[in-house]
Amino acid sequence: MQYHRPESLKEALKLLQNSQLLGGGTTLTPVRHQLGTVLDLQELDLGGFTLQNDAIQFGAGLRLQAIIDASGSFPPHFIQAVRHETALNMRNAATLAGLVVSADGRSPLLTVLAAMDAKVKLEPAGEQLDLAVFFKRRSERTEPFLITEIETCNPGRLSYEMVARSPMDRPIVCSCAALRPDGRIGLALGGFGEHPRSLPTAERGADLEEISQAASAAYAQAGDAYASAEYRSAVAAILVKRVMEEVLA
Amino acid sequence: MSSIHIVLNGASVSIDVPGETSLLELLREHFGLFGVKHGCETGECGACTVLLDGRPVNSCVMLAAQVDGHSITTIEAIGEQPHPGWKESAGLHPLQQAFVETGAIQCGYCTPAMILASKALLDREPDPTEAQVREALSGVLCRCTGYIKPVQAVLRAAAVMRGETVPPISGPIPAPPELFAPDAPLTAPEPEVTPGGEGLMLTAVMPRIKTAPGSEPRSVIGHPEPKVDALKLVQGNPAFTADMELRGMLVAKVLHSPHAHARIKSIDVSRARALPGVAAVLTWQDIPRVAYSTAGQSDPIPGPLDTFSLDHKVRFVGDRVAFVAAENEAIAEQALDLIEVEYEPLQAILDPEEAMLPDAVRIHEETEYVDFADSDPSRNLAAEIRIDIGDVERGFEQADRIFESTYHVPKVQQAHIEPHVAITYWDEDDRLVIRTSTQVPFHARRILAPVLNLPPKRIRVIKPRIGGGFGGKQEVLIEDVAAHLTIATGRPVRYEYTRAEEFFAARSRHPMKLTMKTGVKLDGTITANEMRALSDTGAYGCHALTVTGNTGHKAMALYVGDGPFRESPNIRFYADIVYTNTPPSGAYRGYGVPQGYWAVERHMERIARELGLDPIKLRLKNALRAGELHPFSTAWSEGREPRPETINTNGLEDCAKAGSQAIDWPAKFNQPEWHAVPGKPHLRRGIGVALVMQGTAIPYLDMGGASIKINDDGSFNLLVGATDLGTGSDTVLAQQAAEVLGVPVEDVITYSSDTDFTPFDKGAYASSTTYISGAAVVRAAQQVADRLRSRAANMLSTETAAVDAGEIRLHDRQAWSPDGRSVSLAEIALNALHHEDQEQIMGIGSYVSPVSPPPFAAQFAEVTVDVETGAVTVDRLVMAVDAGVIINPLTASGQVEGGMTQALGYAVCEEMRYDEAGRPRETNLSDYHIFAAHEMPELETIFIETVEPSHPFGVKAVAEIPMDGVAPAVGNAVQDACGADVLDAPVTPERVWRALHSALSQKEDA
Repeated sequence: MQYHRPESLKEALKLLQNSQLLGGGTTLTPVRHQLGTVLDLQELDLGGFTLQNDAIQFGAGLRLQAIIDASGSFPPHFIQAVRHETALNMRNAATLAGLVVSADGRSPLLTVLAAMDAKVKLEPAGEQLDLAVFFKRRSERTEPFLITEIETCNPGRLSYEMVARSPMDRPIVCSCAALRPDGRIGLALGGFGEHPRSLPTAERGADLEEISQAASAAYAQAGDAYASAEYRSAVAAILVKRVMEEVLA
Repeated sequence: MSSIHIVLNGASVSIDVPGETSLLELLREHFGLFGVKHGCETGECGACTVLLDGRPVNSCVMLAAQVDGHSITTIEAIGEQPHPGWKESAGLHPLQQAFVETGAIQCGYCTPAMILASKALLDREPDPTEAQVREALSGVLCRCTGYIKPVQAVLRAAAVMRGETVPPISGPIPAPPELFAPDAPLTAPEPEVTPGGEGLMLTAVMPRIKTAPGSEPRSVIGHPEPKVDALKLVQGNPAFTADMELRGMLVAKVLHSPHAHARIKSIDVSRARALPGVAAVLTWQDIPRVAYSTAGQSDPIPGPLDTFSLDHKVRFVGDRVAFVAAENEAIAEQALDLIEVEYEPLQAILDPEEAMLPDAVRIHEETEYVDFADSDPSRNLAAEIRIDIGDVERGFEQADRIFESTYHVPKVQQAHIEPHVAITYWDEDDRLVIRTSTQVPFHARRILAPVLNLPPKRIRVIKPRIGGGFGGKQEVLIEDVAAHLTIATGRPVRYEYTRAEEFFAARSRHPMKLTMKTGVKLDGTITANEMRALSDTGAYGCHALTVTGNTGHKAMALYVGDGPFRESPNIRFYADIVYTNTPPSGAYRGYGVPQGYWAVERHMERIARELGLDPIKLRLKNALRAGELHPFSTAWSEGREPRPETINTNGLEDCAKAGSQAIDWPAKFNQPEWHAVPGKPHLRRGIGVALVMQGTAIPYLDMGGASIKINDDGSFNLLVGATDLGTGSDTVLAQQAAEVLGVPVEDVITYSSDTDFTPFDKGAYASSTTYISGAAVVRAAQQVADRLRSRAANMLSTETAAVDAGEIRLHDRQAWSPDGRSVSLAEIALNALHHEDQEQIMGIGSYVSPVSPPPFAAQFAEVTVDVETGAVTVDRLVMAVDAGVIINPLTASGQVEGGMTQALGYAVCEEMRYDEAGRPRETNLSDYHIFAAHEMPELETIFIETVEPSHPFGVKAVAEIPMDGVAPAVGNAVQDACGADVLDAPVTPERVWRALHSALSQKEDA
């Protein structure tokens, strides 16, 4: 295995073809014997975040623990989802881009990012993709890409609920509602499948029953070894209603 | 290659390593820093924690090249041996000292990681809250402690580092009188902890103990002595199996079957053998075909011989196909990929219900199969049990009501943090040395000898420190792999399981279907009790008979009935233990008993509710009492001749009373206001109880041996075959020796489990070590004490006054005559070894017990249930245990806390499942979730001492009983909270949700 640590984005992009990108190493190290060339992005200046009135720009290389260390800057439920994502040691290494690239539908943080209308900025194309579009791109893996930034809305309010077998187990169902700057409410479901499911945004006066039914329908086929589709569908409706009520309260 | 320049433990170092080298490999293999442990490959367990620029990270999921230019700190840089001879020492770090003092170390495998994670916390937050400590420890999984004592250790160390005074941990702290008074006020006990506060920091690590009436205070017994192995573990010294280097050592890997059931038509290993760096590739064609059992049990093994090191048939996904030894792991894995196997897939049996159908495919058809008792491979039957005590049918006729239900319990994993690991090599005498993480070194030698075609005398098994076992290492599981490869190559070989292999190729708890039928009179008297078990042993029958036998022997023995039924109980236990094409089941702490109590105690709860009886009173009315015959003792004894056994001591009623008071049962049970959560109508609180009993060793079978010799300075070497797998048994054995010899524990140097040097011991299982091996130690110590007294009498006698040896008292490292004169043990030692009538003062003892005195316990649980989603939060667990006299309150309570935590997983989240092809769902510690420090409920331990007359100090067992009651107590608490009647463990959100909907439907139908 060849290891490179490019010192600039330009250098990284030059080496991008036929390389695997290394954020914190938590996903790639276990499969290191199968890798050819690895680009470690730690020298690139991708680690910070910027809070604006309407948006938050997260650097791709931001360690998950850095979010908790700056917990005063974020809604409590956002912090809760980061804590729930993985334990401290892993948060000290894992990066946000690494999570976005590798996490599945059981990821609490990815579910919250989906509700926060996350957009993923990719190089070399310089494009910014909605999370849902990005999920399609990552599964196809047609062209190599390098994430430089994840931008989300800066939610006025945010609520997150989950059901799991223990307080810190991975969720069987989780849901997030984020009040976006435009007044609409972003909704997402997690706990199943390859990635979280974004639900249609809702307005403040929306019918909660309708929204619950939409959540239920979204998980109507969400059965696996951890829970039946019938259960997930029913609980999705309950959790979505709860997070909506909290955001609207 | 990657060039790496780092600051490692304060020193600048540079090294070139291959790019794919992980940080864990760099530290262990290149720098010999063995305090960094391997527990998994995916960053979930945290045993490999190091500090990267001061922050804890998992070195198994980080490339060595990533840390180039950074600072790395390992446990080797934290503190040092306080007394390294002439050299001055800064001593232990306050964190290390606190971990030693608080009993925070059990197996010690995760201890370095916990200390590093804690240090990172205290470096930036000198006055942390408990929640912050738990968060700091969240990345380090511990399967032994239940986290209470590690958390308290960090708080204590923080106080010390702030300059506060911490009192010594001494005790025992007796339980407050209100817990036991007949008319006690219903108040919760006062908390023990006063964090901070006027410069005094108390540390809440001691259990509450109600000492037995008339029990005498002793010098060492009953005291919270630090563990004898704590100092090496807290420094991360190379104490474990894998912590050694041998020149030319090869790495072994196993090719595992992708099929649940298949014949191997052909194997071509030529490409693998040709790969540079490969030293050997072995298939079934290369090694002797010897049928054996991997179950680490006494001779004769009470089970079928149905296993081969390698076979031409595979019986589960993960079964062995070929062995490889190579220069390194990467080459070994590459070689596995080059082995070409042609399989003939066979129909697989994954459902135990299908195993005994007339047209079921036969899993074991080999002619070498050796039956034991009622095994019948033609029916896929590994074992069969039929026990009838009394007249069960007559008992049912005498009942007012019959209750019948079926319960299920899952397959679960021991999940010890140190994986199975073994190193084998030829010594200078051409004897095969097997250094292995095992609970059964002597059984391993006996069992492996025919498999390797070596006489036992040419095998030496060394058990170093063990990083947890919980029954998973009561198995001769991987030693043969390394040994075959050492025989093939002549070179040292190391074989260590990956975490995934632990899940798909190791042993686990037997899943069972349990059908209960109970006859009850309306006043609650049980007239007859029946359990029928269908137990799934998986592909091989290791422990098949004995695990499931104990399901009945312990769980069905507790409730004998009352009145005339107590005099002559009616109990039936029938079991079929069947083969399936799933990974083999085996021994797991509790050994079949937790399975039984899930059914028995859920069943008792439902009977109580149906009849409107108090659940505690119903249980106590029917429970076995002191002076009564153990009902199963005349019916079954692990496949050997049963002999009658009377229960000498039983503190169950006191346990129920103390536990009830501690959890405030009367103020909660049947109190509607308490069940509601203000402002949250979707949440309901519940409280539940379960009563349980276990056993203490296997009577007339389990034998432990010990020898003790004196050294020049009056210290002693205690050699035992007993196997401390983290439980603290080396410490409690040393305490028993020290008590007899009149010395502090530090004067007893314990060495355990080396088949060349220590006496035989059957090993660490069946909750036997403190009792069986302890009695052997006491016998050996008494012999030594007799010689000490005799020589002291001679030394203290004068021409005018002879001293009687029988009147000499050993205390405080001295032998005291009745007139107050003394001679030190060091003087006696010098006298004996050098001066006159020279002799080696030495004692040898062994012990086998005619009884298996059961410990008893009352387990309580409090939960909160989300009645809309079915989610269950366990808020509190209280366990009151009668384990006889407590030798060491720290280690004993550590056993209970850790056991309750494992059992909590059994209650709510742990479960191994397989897809339609027999492939496992769980292969890592993320999907298979075990509890972490930051999600634990409140735990409380109470000991109700009784004095068991069959042991010199009155002890019974404590190791396994904590596994038994938590799951049913949680299940009962869930039912109490919301009426959800969950019959299958674990109590997952969906099962609760379905039970709630079922109850609702029944209500509407009614």
